[in-house]
Amino acid sequence: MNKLFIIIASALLLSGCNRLDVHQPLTSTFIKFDSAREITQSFVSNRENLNIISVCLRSPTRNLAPFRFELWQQDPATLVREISFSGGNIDNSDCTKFQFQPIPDSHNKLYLFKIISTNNSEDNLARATMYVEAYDDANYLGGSESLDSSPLQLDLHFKTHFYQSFKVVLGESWSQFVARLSLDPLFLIPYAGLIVMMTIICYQKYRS
Amino acid sequence: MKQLFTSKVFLLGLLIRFLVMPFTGHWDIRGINFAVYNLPFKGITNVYDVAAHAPVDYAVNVNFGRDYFIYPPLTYFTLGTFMTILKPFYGDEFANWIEGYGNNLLSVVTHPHVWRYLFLMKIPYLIFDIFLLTILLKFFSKESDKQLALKYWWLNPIVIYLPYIWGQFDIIPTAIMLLGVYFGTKGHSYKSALLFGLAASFKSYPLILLPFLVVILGKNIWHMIKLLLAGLSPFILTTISFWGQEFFRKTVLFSWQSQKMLDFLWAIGGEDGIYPFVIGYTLILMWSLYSLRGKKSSLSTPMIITLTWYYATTNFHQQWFIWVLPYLVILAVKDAKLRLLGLGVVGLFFLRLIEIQANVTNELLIWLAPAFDDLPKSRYLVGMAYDIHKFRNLINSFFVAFSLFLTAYLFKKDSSRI
Repeated sequence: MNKLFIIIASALLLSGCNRLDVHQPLTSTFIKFDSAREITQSFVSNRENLNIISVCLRSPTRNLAPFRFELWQQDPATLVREISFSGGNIDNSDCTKFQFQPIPDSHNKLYLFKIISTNNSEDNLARATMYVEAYDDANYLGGSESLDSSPLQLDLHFKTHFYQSFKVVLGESWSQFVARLSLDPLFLIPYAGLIVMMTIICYQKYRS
Repeated sequence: MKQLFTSKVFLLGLLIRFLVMPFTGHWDIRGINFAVYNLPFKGITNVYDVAAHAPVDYAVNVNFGRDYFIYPPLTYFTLGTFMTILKPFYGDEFANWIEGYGNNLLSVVTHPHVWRYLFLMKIPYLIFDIFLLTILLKFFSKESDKQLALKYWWLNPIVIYLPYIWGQFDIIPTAIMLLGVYFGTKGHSYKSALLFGLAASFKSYPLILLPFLVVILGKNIWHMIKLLLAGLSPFILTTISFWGQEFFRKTVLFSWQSQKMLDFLWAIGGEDGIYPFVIGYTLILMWSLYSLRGKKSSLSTPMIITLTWYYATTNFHQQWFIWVLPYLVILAVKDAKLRLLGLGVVGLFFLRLIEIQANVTNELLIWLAPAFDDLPKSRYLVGMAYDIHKFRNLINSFFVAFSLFLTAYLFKKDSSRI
C-alpha cells in the first residue's frame, strides 16, 4: 500500500501541472463550418511552456469529417505545432483540448491557432454539423479572430495552458501564500489570535 | 446552554469552522454577495431590478450570467442586514472587489483582503448554524442523546463542508424549518406553519413540505385551510411586491431549479409521461393523510421520506442535501440501527461530490493559492480509473436504494420516531 502511495505521489510530482493562462469562457453564438474552411484566433501567451489550447468545438453528429489544428507563431509566421483530428474526436460535453509538447520560449509571443477543414471535396455536408462556440463582444483583448481570412467581431470560446512542474507550482503557491500573510494585518492578527486561543482551550479541555 | 458552548465538542467544531472560513469557497458565495452588497453599500432595495439591467461583473457573468441571484427577497434582506452590521469590518474596498476587475480573475482571487471577505460572508451561516444546533438539542430529553446529537451535527463533515467550505446559505432555511418542525411536534400548528412559510421565503422547498404539516396537524378541513394559508402567508407577504417584475417571476417564482424534480419523466406513450417524484410525493401525502393524522410526533417522518425521494429522483444540487440532515441526525441519535446508514450517507454525499461538474473539490482552495484550480479535477481522476458516467449513475442508484430502504424502514416503524 505504501509503495503504491509512493508511486502515485512520485508520478504526480514528476508529471507537473497544466496551468491556466489565457481564458475566454463565454459563449453567445456559434460559428459553423458549413460555409467556412478555416477559423482562427490569435492570442498572446503570458507564460513559458505553452502546451494546451482548449477550443469549444462541437460535433453533434460526430461524423468523421477530417480537420487539422495548427498553431502558428506570428512575426514571422512559423508553424510550430499541428494535430490532425476528425469530428469523431470531439467531446460534446466539454471543450476539446489540443495538447502538444510545451513550447519553452512562449512567453509574451503572439500566436495564432487555426481549425481547418481538410475535406478536399467541395461537398461541405460532412463538415456542416461542426461548429465552434464564440462570444459576440470584445472580451479578450489580446487577439483577433477570422473566418476564412475575413476578420470576425467576436472571440472564440477558448483557453490556453502552460506546463509547470509540481515543484515550481508548490514553490510559487507557497510564496504567494506567505506574501499575502502580511497584506491584511487588521484581519489576520485578530484571526490568528482567535485560532491560537481556541486551540489552547480545546487542548486543555481534551487533556482534562 | 452555557454547558453547550463550553463543551469540548462545541469548541472543536467551532475551531474547525473558524479554520476553514477564510480560506475556502465557491464562486457561488461571491455571486450571491454580488447581489447582497447592493443593500448595504448602495442602499438598493430591489435587487431584481439590478440583476435584470445593471452591468454584471465578469466572474459573475462567466459563472451565472444574469441569474446570479435567484432567491426570494428575504434572503437578500437577511444577508444584507448582516452585511450592513459588519460593514465597518468589510471596509470600502469590498465594493471594488465584489464589482471585480474585468477579466482579471487573479486580482479577485488574490486580493489582499479576500480572506477577510470570505470569513465575514460566512458569519451569518455560523449564527444560523448555532441557532439550528440549539433547536436540534431541544428534540431530546436525555443528556446522553443531546451529547450524541451535538457530535453528529456539530462535527458532521457535511455540515462543515456545505456552509463553510463551499459557502452555501441553505443552513438558513434549514434552521428555520427545524424550528417549525419542533413547534409542530409540540402541537403549535400555526407557529409551525408560519415558520414553514418563513423558511420558504429563503428557498422554496418548504412549500413542498407544508402539505404534510397541514394534513397531520389539521383537525378538520377548515383548520387545514387556515394552516395552509398561514404557511403560505410569509412567502406571499415577503414576495408579493416583486410579482409584477418579469425577472423575478422568471428567475425566482418559476425558476427551472425549483422544478428540477420534473426533469425525470417516464413516458407512457404518445407525448405523455408521468413524474416519478410526483407519484412518490402523492403516495407519501396519502399515507400521511390516512395514517399519520393527529400524530404530531410523526411530523418529520413524511418530510424525511419526501426529501430523500426528492434526492433519489432529481439531479439535485449538492447543497440541497443539508435540508434533510437535521432529521437524519435525530433519527440516528434515537435509533442506533440507523447510525451505520448515516455513515453511508456521509460517504455517498462525498462520493457524489467528487464526480459532479460544479468545481467543488480542490477548486474551493483557490483563495489560498490559484494553482489549486489547475490541479486535475476529481472527476477527471475518477474518470482515469473508471467510466465517469457509469460512476455517476452508480452513485445515483445508491441514493435511490438509500431512499427506498429508509422509506420502508420508517413506514414499518410507522411513526413516532421523532
